Amino acid sequence: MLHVVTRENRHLYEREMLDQHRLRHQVYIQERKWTGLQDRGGLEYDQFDDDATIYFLKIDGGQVIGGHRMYPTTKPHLMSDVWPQLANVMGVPTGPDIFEWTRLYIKRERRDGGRFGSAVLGELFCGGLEYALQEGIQELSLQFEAYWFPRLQQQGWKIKPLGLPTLLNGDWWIGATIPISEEVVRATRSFYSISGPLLVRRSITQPAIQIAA
Amino acid sequence: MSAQALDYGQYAFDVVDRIEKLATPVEVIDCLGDTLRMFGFTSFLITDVPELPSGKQPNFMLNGWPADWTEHYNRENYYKDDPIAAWGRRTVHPYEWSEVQVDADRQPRAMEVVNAGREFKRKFGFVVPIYLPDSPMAAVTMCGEQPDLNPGAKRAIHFISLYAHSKAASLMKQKNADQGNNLTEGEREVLSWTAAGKSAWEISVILDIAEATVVWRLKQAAAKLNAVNKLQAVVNAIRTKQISL
Repeated sequence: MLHVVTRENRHLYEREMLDQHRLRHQVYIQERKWTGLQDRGGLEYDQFDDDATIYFLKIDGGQVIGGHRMYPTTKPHLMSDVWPQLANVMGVPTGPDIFEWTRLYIKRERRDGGRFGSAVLGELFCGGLEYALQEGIQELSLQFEAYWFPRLQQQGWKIKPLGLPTLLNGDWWIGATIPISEEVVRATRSFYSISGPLLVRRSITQPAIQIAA
Repeated sequence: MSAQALDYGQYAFDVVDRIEKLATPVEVIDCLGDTLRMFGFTSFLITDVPELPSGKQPNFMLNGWPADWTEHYNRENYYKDDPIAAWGRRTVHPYEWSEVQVDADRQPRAMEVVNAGREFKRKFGFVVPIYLPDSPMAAVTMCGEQPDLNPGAKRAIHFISLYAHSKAASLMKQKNADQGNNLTEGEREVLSWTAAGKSAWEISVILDIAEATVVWRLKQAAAKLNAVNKLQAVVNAIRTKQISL
């Protein structure tokens, strides 16, 4: 199950949210050694972690083992402010029904599928897409390492790149959007052998589109 | 962002738009070839990159190398010592041949491969590694005497190669599925070893799986290939290019 955490229900996830920032620190600062991220006492968070952020937490046995976040593109966001070079051909897409999808992480011990991740990864992907579909989000804007491109296509994503591969922190990255449809949700579930919905929404009433407004 | 870099970007996106509309793997590969020629690459190939020391030679999805070089390469059994291939087994990043370091004293065979390539006028090359789940690693490799290898060109080629490979692979998969011939990777592996003359028991040892699994996969593959026995299955798989020798 993948828990959706917004401003409204964050009080239900205080410990898990801290776990999340700690895991992000492990993955992005310690393992991947991204420059430009700040070590905040063993936690990682940036200017796009605020009241508008929608978090997705994969919780297993009371422990956060993976997750990601979404952020409205109507506000300054990662692609517009930090990595606009990833959209150097098509420009940075913005709009109330376009959300940016970033900071995907999986706890190291739960990455058991080789270079392309694990069952947890499938849940993270499917849960994020499920949310986007339910909320009427038309497109997700995201960045991924270039070598993932054939794989993402193969799992049924109609990738629309925004620029040429760009070297960031020693790796080649591509910025892109993916259109959200029932078809992409169905294809991704089938690719990862996931049978149906995964989201848990405790005490949330505010639609994503209102967060973007 | 310089104007030149922007041009490469626009050019690459135009090519990708064109590729998106193509209907067969052959058209995609032709389009990729035409594009690489624009950048000054005179030949290219698409291949998988088997891990060592499996003893396997690369499978070619497309071999655009000059025949005399391919013949020489195979006859001299260069693959296992080819430093350019070795680099590709260790990185996800595209690279120029010139970036591959060879220590002439410690790797005499690798040096021999590089020198032989130079004699065949194979001086400048670029490799884009391709990763797909459940498939061996692959690469698009290109070579020319005076290709455009400035950073913008390399980014454009990187992008177009990823896109073209992905498109060709998906069209091919669709074609195989249409023919009802979609062999799994395991079935393909077992058939390839059968084609190499190995018995079910020998294959079970090579792949470290149960002999019953080998037999089962051969049976499944034969059914998909409308074959009555394993010999016919091998023949049909080769004919429909699902395995190669």
